[in-house]
Amino acid sequence: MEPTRRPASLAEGEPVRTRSTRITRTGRRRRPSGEAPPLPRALVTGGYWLAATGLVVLLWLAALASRTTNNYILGFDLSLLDWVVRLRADALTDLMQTAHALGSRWTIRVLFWLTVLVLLVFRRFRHLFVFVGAVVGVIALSSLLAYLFMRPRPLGAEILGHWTGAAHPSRPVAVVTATLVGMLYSLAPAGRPRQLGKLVVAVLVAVLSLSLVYLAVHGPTDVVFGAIIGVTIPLVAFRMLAPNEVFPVTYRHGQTAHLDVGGRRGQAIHQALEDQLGIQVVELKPFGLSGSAGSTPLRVCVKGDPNSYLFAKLYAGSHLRADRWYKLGRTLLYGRLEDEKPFNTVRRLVQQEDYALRLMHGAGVRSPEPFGIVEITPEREYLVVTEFVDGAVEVGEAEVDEAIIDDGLRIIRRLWDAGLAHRDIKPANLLVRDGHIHLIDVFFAEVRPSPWRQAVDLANMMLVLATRSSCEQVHRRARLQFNDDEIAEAFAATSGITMPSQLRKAMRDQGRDLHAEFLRLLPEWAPPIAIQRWSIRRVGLMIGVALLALLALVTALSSFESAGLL
Amino acid sequence: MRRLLAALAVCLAAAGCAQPVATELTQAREPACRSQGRQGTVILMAQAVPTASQLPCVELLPAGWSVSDVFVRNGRVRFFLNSDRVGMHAVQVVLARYCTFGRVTRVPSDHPGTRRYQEVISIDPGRRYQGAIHYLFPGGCVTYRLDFRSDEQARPLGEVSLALGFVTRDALRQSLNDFTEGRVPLDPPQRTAP
Repeated sequence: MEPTRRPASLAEGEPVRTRSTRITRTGRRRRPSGEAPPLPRALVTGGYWLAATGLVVLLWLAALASRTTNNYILGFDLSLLDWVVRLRADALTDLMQTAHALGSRWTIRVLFWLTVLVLLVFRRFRHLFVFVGAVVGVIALSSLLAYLFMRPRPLGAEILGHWTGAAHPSRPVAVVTATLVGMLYSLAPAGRPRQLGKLVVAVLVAVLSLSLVYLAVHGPTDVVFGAIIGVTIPLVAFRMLAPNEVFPVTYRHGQTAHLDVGGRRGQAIHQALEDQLGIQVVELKPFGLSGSAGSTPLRVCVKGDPNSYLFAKLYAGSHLRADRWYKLGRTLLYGRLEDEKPFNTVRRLVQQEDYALRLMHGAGVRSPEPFGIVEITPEREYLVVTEFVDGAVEVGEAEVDEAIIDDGLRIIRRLWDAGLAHRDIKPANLLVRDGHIHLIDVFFAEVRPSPWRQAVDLANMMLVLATRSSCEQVHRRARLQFNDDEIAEAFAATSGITMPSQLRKAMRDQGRDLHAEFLRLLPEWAPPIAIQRWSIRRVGLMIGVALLALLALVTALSSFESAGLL
Repeated sequence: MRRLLAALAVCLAAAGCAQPVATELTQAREPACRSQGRQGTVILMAQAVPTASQLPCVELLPAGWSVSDVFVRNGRVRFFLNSDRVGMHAVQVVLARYCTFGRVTRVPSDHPGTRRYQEVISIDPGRRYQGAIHYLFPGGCVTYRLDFRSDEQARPLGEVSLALGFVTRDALRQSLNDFTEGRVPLDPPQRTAP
């Protein structure tokens, strides 16, 4: 397309206001060497449990390996069993045989898959993986130990129940305990529900253990050792991999990307903001959760005269992974578009956002003023703090007149002039306050983007503005800042997937095909720009991902089958 | 992507290492006739079929033979003999209270205190031999299901007869008694083997 002369621009508009937020800062504090960060990673107590259990297991293994102590243990089991066997009565035996069903494979299967289902429904994948791993781990360990010890069933007593394999440790007790403890830590919120749950678990495990000893299916030491394994592995797994302070069990609605900012993390954020930015935090609240899927947005009330607000986005490892998956998905679906290289660390991710904010601000684009990065847990959790655009409404809920349209289009012109692309122009990222549009969420911003990427920004801005006005009006105003070729290029570059989903939904809700309406207004159409990018890398990646997914599925199914969970 | 590839490599390496370790463990837990009191497999077998007066066990494995898939539950015991010449699961050994016979022929038994029955199930000349040997004794029955996939027909049967043997319940009881210094009996007081 031949470049054409740009029409006479509108007045540049009023200069972008800087330092719009009055924030009172007191002294900042540097964390000295050796001092723990605000939210230390090692806030888990699972390590002690693991060490203590490891010691017990080692001592126990040594005791079983020695003929003398082993004979004492067998004798101890037998003497206790003798006493229990003397209590046997028909009615009690029936009762115990019923209780024995608690340890059956079907009970475990039902509990296990029910928990998996609930965790899938609530999209708590971290808890799901820890639960599945802990239960499968307990099954594997108890089976391995049983195979290594090859201990017989209680000797010298008539066995009244069904059994399979060696007796030590008691596999039913270990697996039922692990499943129940896993359910408790993945389904029950911390506090009273979990405390009550612990009682229930203790009673159920005790009943099962008693029944197994009564029926002489297992000896007393078998069930005790089984219970130790069944409690310890899930407990340690949850405390180390999904600590409640960081990944609490809640049943509130919302994006799974959002982290809990209460409890220990909330305190850490308070402390970090005060130490690193020198501000006095009055209140910290999640804000606009529905519009954000890639971070946890927060509104920070800062002490002052009067109090003022800051906006903060909390990024963690889960957001980094989400970003990677998102980019992988886009590469698979469309080929590598541009600047879609995933980030390696959370630090890099927040640095990109902070840099983009400063770039926008420096380029004269009306976007939130950056206030810096706050470290919560080194390399794992950071806050990006910016000005809070107080009193603003989304463009999708605002009155859009010609001044607003001009302002929105001017933002694109400034981005173009500065060699930038925002790449996520949608109603949620355009806030209107005092007759001006503010561009927020600049995480995806790109320096020196391709002309295609810039054209998409223009088309999306025009489409967003048209959702609150008319295509004719937006097109007329756009021709004051962009020539016909540029506008035609914008709509040639834009098709379904280049429009953010929120924008597509807004158009769907209105029952309007704004893209087609704009095309009708163009004096000349440009040929559509293809989005799909095929390369050997993409094909290889598709095959690799398919093979890995297949391998993961086969491995999981094989593990479940050998663990008796299928 | 690098992590995914690393994880894949670790999985493959682990799978490669797991096989020899599993084989070692399997061999260490085989139901050996010689050490009845010292390891639990034969005792577990006795508990699985508490009426059985004889228990199958492994005497001496000829070169190229191994034991796998030892499975013991109340009422039934099963394990396999594998051969590098006639195939995996060449012999399935099953101990139970009762056996189901096909078209069997009684032959002189090579183990005292047992009656031996033999049947040929199918012969695929030069490729496969399938048959069964049943040993009957008071309180139980042991079946060897033979599936030799080679041109040797029934010739490996000689090696199987050398590899497998029986231990009497009385001998096991005595062995356990010696091992535990009389602390632990094999059977409950009111129940003795018939």
